[in-house]
Amino acid sequence: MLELKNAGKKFDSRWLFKNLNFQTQTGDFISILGPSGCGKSTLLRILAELDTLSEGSLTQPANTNPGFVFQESCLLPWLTVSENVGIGISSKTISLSEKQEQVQSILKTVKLKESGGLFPHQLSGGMKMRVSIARALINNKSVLFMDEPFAALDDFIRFELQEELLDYWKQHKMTVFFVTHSVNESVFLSQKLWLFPQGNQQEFKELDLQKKDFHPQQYRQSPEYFRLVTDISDRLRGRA
Amino acid sequence: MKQFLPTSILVTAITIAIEVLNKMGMWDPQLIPPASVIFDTIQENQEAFFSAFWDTARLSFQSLFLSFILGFTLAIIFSLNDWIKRAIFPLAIFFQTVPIIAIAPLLVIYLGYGPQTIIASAVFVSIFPILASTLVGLDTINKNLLELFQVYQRSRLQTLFYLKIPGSYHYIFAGLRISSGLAVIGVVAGEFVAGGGLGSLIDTSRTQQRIDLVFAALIGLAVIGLLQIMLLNIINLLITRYRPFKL
Repeated sequence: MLELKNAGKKFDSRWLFKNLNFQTQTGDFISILGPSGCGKSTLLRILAELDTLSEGSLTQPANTNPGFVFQESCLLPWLTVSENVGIGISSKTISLSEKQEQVQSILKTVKLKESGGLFPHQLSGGMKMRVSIARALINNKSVLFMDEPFAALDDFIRFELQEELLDYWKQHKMTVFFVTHSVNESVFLSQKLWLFPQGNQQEFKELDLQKKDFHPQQYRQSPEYFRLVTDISDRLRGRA
Repeated sequence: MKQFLPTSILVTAITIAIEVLNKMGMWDPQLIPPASVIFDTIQENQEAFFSAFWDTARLSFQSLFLSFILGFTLAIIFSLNDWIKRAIFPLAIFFQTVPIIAIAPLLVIYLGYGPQTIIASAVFVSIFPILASTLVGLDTINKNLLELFQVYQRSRLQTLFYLKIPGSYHYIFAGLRISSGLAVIGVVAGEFVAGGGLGSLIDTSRTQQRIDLVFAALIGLAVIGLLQIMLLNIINLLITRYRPFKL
């Protein structure tokens, strides 16, 4: 279980956020939602231990095996797709053949089985993001941090990747922290939302969407989905 | 090879034009000697010329290699320790502004006559581009990639060898290309004061008004510069082909 207690982050003299109190359970899919510049990515970086809190505390479970997906695909241009994905394996005890097996398996999952030998410059934007996700998922990651990973993609690829991510999460039930400024994306993907309302930085909200088991493609067309999108958009604007 | 075609055509045309004008008595060979005269001069002074050429070439390659090792190592140390960087790098910039021709006599006093002074002079001139370019490359690595290595618990050494150095590769190589030309300049400046090589040949030819011999030496220096660039291109090809940076 991960817990944030009275967490606050200050940049120079300005508080980015303050008095955050959130808890997660293993296997939660949490979207961190709010307008640009509200501190979503900073919070994600703090959760991933890439940054520190200015006040309060963060309790993390021991021995987490985290994966991180940035907004850009962040691939090393001098490495092939397989080699880039292999970076995600942090274990030193794993043999080369096991490593290659894991790389092949995850490449199959992200539909890039035939592209292992290609270099990043030979890939489309969607393929690059798939490689980045594969690198984050490999080696049975228990926690996944995603910082607006689909923001730069077109709708068609974005919907496809959202559905694939959801399928993978349903199968493996790792904890996911997903930063986005899209209400639609957060409602579609997550079980819980951490809301950063606009212009009212003291009132952070945690919402449990209480979604039942659903088929991703049908869910996007459902009245429940539209109701939640409208409700959360209103909350973010401070109208609710 | 296609990229060198316009230059080759231009050089050939100028060479032929000078040759023809000289034959017609419309060219002063004391100003710029025709290619045939330079070629004859090299043949006449074969032993002295090739011995000087070999000395200068050897010292240029040695100096470039030493500059790379020193410049690259210093850049790595600077990138790992900001305090050392802030202490030493401004001094490197300061010394870079001092002309080598003013330093070279001092090097003779410290190191005496001989190859050690020539190498010191060449390293002094050619180390800075490698140091500065490598440092820029190491300092401009994508922040997200550095964090990625942090998330996957890579050590500082792994980050250096598998991310920072390959990520700075193009900067390092650009520095090396600039330094290869400077190494030849530094060697010649060193030879002017410490003796030996094509630098010394130019100096003595100047006192004897042997323009043809000066031009022969200049062509020799250009060939050394080209050989260095060719060697660097071969190394670049091998590195990009065999990619020794795989994690």
